[in-house]
Amino acid sequence: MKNKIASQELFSAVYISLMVEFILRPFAQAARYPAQITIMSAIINTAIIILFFGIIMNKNIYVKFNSLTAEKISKFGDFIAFVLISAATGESFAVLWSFLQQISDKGPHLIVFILLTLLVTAHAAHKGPYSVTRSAEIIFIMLLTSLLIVLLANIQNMRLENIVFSDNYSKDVFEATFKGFYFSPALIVWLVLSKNIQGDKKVKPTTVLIFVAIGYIILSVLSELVLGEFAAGENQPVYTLARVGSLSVFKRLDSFHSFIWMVVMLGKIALYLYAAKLALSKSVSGLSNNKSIIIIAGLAVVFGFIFIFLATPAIKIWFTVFGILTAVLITVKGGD
Amino acid sequence: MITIDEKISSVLHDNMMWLKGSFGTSVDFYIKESKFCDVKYAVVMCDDLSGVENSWEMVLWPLRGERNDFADGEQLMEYLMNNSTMAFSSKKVMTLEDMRFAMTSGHSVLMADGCDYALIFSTQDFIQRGVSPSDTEVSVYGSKEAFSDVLRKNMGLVRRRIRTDGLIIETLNIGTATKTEVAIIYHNKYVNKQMLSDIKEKLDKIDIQMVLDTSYLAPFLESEPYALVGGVGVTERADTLCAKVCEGKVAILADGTPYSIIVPFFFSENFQCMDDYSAKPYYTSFIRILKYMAFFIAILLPGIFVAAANFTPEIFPGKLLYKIAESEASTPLPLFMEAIFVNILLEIIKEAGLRLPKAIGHSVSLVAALIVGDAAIKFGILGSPIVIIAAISAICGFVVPTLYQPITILRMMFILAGGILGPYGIAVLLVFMMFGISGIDSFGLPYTAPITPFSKGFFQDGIIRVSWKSMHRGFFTIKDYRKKKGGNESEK
Repeated sequence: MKNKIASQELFSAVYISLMVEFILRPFAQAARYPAQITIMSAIINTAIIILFFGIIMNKNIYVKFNSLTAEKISKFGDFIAFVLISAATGESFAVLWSFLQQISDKGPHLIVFILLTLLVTAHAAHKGPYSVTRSAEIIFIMLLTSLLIVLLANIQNMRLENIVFSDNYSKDVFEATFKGFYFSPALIVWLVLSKNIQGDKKVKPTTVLIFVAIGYIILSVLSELVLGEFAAGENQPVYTLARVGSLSVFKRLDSFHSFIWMVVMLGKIALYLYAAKLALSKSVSGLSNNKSIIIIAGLAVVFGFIFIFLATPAIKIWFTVFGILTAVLITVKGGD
Repeated sequence: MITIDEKISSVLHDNMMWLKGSFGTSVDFYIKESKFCDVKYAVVMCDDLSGVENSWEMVLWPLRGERNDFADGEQLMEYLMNNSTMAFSSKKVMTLEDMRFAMTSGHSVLMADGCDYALIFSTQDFIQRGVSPSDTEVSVYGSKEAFSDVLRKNMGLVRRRIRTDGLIIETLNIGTATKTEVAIIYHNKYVNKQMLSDIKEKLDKIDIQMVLDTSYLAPFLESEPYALVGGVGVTERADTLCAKVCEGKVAILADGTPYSIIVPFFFSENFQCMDDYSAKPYYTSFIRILKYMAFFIAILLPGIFVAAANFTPEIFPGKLLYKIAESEASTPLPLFMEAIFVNILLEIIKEAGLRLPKAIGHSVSLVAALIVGDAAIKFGILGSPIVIIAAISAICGFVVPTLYQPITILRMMFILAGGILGPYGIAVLLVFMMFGISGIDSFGLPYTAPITPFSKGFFQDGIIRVSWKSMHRGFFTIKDYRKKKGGNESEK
C-alpha cells in the first residue's frame, strides 16, 4: 500500500517536534523551579500521558459504540485534529519567526518569511509522507549532533555547586507538575500518522515520550550545572547554553546550533502540515490533494499571524484541552 | 503497395520494390539478384555495415556448391535452413520491417521468389571503437574494460562476467526514427519481478523520435523527472553493471553508446566506485565520508560564506573577519555579486576547456588562471577570500562526478539564498533539497536508502563499508531490501 511510513521515521519526526519545544520557546515563561523539581514534574507528566495513551488505545474501552457511531465520532475527531494541528502549525510559524528576530538583526521580512516557509513545507506535505518523514530521520541526527555539541561545549563550565535544592519539595513538584502539564499537538500528529505505519513492528508512543523525557532531563541537569540558579529564570536555557559553550577555538557555536534548530522547525512545520492534510482528508471526503493543502496552508497562515501578533503562553492550555479531547475522539473504536 | 507492417511477399519483385522505395537512392543499398536452379533469389544488405566479401563467402559462394533442384523459392529456403551448412540466423524474418532492421544492423538478407519469408546471416563489417578503459569512471585496481558503442559487444562483456544461468538479456527497439536496439539486462534469480515488469512497461510506452544515447531513456524511468537528482544511475563500466545486476537491479544498454543506465539507483551509490571494493574497508569508509563532506562543501560553502559575511559576521574569528573585511573593502562589487560572478566564470572556463580540442583547452585553463587568479585580484575586481572559497568549492564538486550537474545548480542557488535571505535562506533551501531528495522513490524503493529510512545497510555498504568476509554473509539484493522496510509494499 502506498504512503505507508516506517515506524522509525514516525518516531524521529515526532521526537524532533517534541524536543524542539524544549529548545525554542520564545513565548514560554521561565520555569522558576530548579532542575530537581522540573525533572520530577516532567517524569510525572510523562507518566500521566503514557497512562492516558494506555487508556485511549485500549480496545475494550469503546465497545458500547456501534460501528457507525464510532465512525462518525472518529471523523469529527479527525476534523478537530485538522484544526488543532493547523493551529499548532501557525504557532510553529510564530515560534520560528520570533527565534529569527532574536538571533539576527537582518532577517527576512515577515511576508517573505511566511511565504518562503509555507512554500517549502507545503510543497513537502503535498509530495506525501516520504519527503517529510524520511527527512525527519536526517534532521533527527542533526538535532542529536547539535545537542551533543551543546553538551560537550559546556562540560568545562559545569559546576556541581551550581545545583539548587528546593526547600519545599513536594509542594513545588505538585505546582510544577500542574503548571507544566502540556499535551503537545505532536502527540495528535502521532495518533493521526500512526494509522499509516507499515509492518507489524510499531513503535509505541510510550517509547517516544520516554526518550523525550530523557532528553529533557539531560538538558535540565546541564542547564543547572552550567547556569546555576539562573537556569530557572531563563525561558530558553538551551539557547543560552549554546551561546556560552565553546569547543577549543570555536567560540560562537550558537550560529551553528541556531541553523540546525531552524531546520528542525521547518521539518516540524512540514510534518504538521502533512498530518493536518491527512486528518482533513479523513474527515472531509472528496477533497483533492491540492485543495487540502491550500486550505491547511491558508488556515496555518491565519493562525500564524494571530500568534505572531498575539503571542500568549495561554495557548499551551488550549492545545492541552483540545489535544486531549481530540485524542479521545479519534481513537474511538466501534464494536457490538 | 506493400505497407510497412506487412509481411514479406512471396513475390520477390514486390519485396524488391518495397526495399527500393524504402532505401530510395541511398548509395549504401546493395542488391544482388540472381538465379539458382531456376529459382530467382536476391541478397540485400547495407554495404557500409556489411562486407560484400563476407556476403560472398557466406552465401553466394556456398550456394554455387548446392546440387539439388528446387521447385520454388520456399523449397530452396527450407533446404538451406535444414540441410545447408550455411550460417543463417535461426529465426526466419517474416515482415518487411524486420528485414530492414536486420539490414541496418549489418546483416545480409536472402530472399527467394515464391517464399514469404527471408533468412538473415551475420556479415557485419563496420568500423567500431574497441574496448578501452573508462574515461569517466577511472579505476586504479579494477578492470580496464569499459563499454564501447556496439551493443552486442557490450552484451558480450556482461555475459563474460556473469556466467550463471540467471543472466537474461532481452532486446527491444525504441525510437520511431532510429529504431535503436535497447537491451534490458537482469538476473532472474535476484530481480524483483514486479519491478522488472514496471520497467519493461515503461520502456514499451516510450514514444520518442530518436534514441542516440541511454540518457534519452532515463527521464522516462525516473519517478520525478524534474528533480535535480534522480533514481537512475549511469555507468560505462562492465564490472559495475555486473555488480548492480547481481544486486537485483536492472541495467539498460543501447546501441551506439557506451553508457548504460541502472534502475533502481540510490543516492548513496553516487559516492561509491569499484575501487571501494578493492581497498581496505577502513580506507573505503574514510574516502566515502570525505566524499560526502566534499559534496556538502561543494554546494554549501560559497552560500554559507556569503550569508555569514553579510548577515552574521560575528561567527568568524576576529583575525579572519579583519582579513575578509580588508579584502572586500577594496573591491567594487558586493560579496554576493562577487560569488555569483566567480562561480559563473568558473563554469564558463570549465565548459570552454571541455569542448575545445585538448591542446587549446589547456591554454584556456592557463589564461583563466592568470586572469582570474592573479590579475583580477591584483586589480581589485575580486577579493581573495571569495576566489579561495570558489576554488575549494569547485574542487570538492569534482570529487563526486556523477553529481556534478546538481552540485553546480545547487551551489548557485545557495549563493542566491544566502546572499538575499542570509542563514534562513540557506536553511530553507537545504530543507527544500532534503525534502526533494527524500521524496524520490525509484521503483518502489527509497532513493535515500540506506541513510533514510535507516537500515543496517548503512554500516554494511552504505557510507561505512565492511570487509568482504562480513559482507558476503548478508549479501545485498533488491529483493531482500523490499521485503524489509521503506519500500512500497504493493510492489513486492
